[in-house]
Amino acid sequence: MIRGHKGLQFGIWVVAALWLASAVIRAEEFIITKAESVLLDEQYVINAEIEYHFSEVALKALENGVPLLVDLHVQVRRKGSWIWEADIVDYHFRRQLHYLPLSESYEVVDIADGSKRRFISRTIALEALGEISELPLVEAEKLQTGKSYRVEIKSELDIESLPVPLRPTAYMSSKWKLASEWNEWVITP
Amino acid sequence: MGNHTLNGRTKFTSIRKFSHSGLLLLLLVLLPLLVSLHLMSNAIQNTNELSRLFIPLLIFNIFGLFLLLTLIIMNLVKMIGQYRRREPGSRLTMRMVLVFLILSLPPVSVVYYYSLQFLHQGIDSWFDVKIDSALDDSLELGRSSLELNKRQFLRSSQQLLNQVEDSSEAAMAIALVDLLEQSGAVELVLMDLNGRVISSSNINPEQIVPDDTLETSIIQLVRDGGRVVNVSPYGESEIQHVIVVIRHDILPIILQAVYSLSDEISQLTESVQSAVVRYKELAFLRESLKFNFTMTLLLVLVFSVFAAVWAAFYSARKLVSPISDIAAGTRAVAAGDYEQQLPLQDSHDELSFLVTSFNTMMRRIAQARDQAARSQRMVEEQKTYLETVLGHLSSGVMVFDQQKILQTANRAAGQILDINCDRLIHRASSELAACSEQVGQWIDNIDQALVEDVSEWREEITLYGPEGRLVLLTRISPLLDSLGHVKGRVVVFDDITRLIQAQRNAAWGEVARRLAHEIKNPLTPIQLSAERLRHKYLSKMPKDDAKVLDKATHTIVQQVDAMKSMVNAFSDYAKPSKLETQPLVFDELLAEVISLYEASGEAEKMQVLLETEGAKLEADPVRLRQVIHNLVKNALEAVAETENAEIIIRSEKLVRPEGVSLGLEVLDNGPGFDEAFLANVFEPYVTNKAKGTGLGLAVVKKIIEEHGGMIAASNRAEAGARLMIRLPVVQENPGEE
Repeated sequence: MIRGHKGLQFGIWVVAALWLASAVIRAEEFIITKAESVLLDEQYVINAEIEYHFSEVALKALENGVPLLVDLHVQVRRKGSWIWEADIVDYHFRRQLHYLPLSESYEVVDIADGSKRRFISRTIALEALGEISELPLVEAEKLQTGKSYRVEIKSELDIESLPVPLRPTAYMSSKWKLASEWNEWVITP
Repeated sequence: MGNHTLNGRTKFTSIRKFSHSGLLLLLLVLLPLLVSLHLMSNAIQNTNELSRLFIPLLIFNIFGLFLLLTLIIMNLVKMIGQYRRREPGSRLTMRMVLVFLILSLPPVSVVYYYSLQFLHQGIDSWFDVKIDSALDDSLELGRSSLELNKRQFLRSSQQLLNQVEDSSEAAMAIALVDLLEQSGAVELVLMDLNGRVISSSNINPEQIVPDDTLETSIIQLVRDGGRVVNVSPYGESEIQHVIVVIRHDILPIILQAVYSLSDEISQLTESVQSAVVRYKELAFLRESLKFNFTMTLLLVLVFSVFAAVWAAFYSARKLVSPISDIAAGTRAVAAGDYEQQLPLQDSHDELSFLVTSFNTMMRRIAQARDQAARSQRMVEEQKTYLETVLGHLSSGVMVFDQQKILQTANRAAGQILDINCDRLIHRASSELAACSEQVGQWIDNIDQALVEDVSEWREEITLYGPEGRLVLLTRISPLLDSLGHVKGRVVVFDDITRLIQAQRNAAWGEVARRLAHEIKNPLTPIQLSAERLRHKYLSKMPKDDAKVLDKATHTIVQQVDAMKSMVNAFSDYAKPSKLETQPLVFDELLAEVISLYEASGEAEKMQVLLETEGAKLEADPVRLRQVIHNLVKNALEAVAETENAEIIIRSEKLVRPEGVSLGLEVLDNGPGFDEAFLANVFEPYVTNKAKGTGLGLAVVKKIIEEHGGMIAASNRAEAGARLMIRLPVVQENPGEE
């Protein structure tokens, strides 16, 4: 009876430890909390919300002037397609976050069009970084009516864009391997 | 030896192949690793393209180093194994590897340590506290300058907004144009509390609608009474602007005023900001840089050490290889294998010279060995030839050294002396003398000559033994070596007993023939003349004269008859007899002859022992009976005047290594032979008896020799004579013997 009680206690500890570990892991990852595609003017666009939980070391690098570039990998494939079939859409949408010490603000830059937005707080800047609104996905005419297409998005920190001296460390450290899971849904025109 | 040689050569070849393959492997592993390290070093520094390959290069390098480490461990294990097995060259290899390590490790470690120190200090020296402070100060200065501008623009904006009193949109639009002109702002925008634009005015007449809309958070902040003054690029230009967002104290309106900073301030603040950002970034990357360089240096260090260790193994093996070959070669030589040829080295150093010299030496040794083997073979052939010749010689040959030790003896020597020479090789002459009485006599005769410094010694030596007389014609010559020094004596001897006997027999034959011719022939006329004288004058002569004549003629006739008998007997002895042989059982014949003496009672003196086990002879029974009669009669005559006379007649079968023979001994306890006559007792007319022809024993000897046997006479140690006969037996079933 006592042994059983101890076993239960041990089990609780293990679960708690695992929960804590997962919490820690979750604290340093990207989470796509919302992702959808909407048909807008004959074009499918993506609306998504991504929570960027950067690691302490990444945030420290940001505060020290290292720009962080997040990459949103977007893919559209015909559902049930063969492995050798080309993706209908496969592109990367990138945003860069960097700190401006003079104004003590954060700037989010869309790499594609170069548009910049400044935010006085990091939290707001991270929210803006993860807010994807009406991002063009694919023109409706490229999709066949009645067929299903799988849309997949994944966001990750682009290590290759980090300064060269930081890359070896980033390659070898899990603190820098920040990415979300693949998030997928199906659209059927 | 052939196999050994083959194996040895295979081993040498494999060492050579290993050497080449080792070098190839060395190049295959080391070169890519070196290139990879170089690329990695570049990747760490500043090459964007290569930085993508950093992780593959790192994995490749670590894998390469691990492979190198594995090879080194294998080499190490192999070397320790060789050392424990005490293989040739293993100790030298281990010593050289250790020396290489001792020589290479400290410098590399020192270079590594100081490089690391230098690197860290170099990187740290980029960052100075003063520069850090100056940059912070300049940043603060920039901020103050901007703050000043911001406060000024805020105050201006506040004053502008206070001038707006009419809340109608039209009035606000008109007032806004005036205010824009007064304030010097780039743009003025009036919004309601929800952020909706009521009116806007821009110094650019074409710009009717404001560039950016305010963010909800700012509107919320300002609506709650806050004031926002931001510095940021505005519109499409990258020039810094001061954006002031404030709320009217009374009216529910929000003013966004955008002021352009002067170019100088904008550039200066931007420059300060970029410099601070760059400096802070570099300062932040300092540790990463140190880590990267340290890791690269460490990899280079490990690579250098591993390469040095491997090079140590390779060089040691390369250097030790010829020495090991030579060691293996010398072992092979010690084991008697002279066919070893060591593989020649590519280099032309002293070791190569040593290997070449070793090979030359080996070839010469092999040639010398072959020559020696040929010489030995020739000597063996010569020896065999000599032994064959000596073996087939009827003369006995013996070789004694200076110490009178028997070195060589041929078969005839053993046969003549009746000794086993093989057993007596390397024995002293005194040991030979102890073999038999005869040999002892012979050695006594030649003993002095064996050490005398004479060129040739020749003697006819007569020996007496239980089997009769033996006459040896002995010649002794010195045995010289190649320098002419005497190293021994060669003794050559011939048994000339039979030759002398034959000569004597021939002489006796001649005597007999002459007797027959010269004496017997005149006897008949003498006898006839005497009988005629008697017949013619006996009746006519007076009685007294007739009596004399009768006596004289009678004596003449009688003596002539006696002389005739004597000459006939002698002639019979001298001329070769014709044997009519047949197989007969000797014991039966002997018993038959002895039985004839039973009637006269003389058989009582005899003790007959028949022990031939029925052995058969191929003999003439008549002649053999004569032999037995003669011997028995001689014995009876010898014991005629002896008390307790005793004659022992013993037949036996003698089984000896040289063959089976039959022996007959006749022993008596009479006076024995006169020592003076003993040597010639079988010669005709040699007798100590008053009666008799003197041919008895001579005839016996003749008959025995005609039957292939031999006879010997001697005196018994106790008393009396001993006559011994040997006769060959018929081998009925040789397999049983």
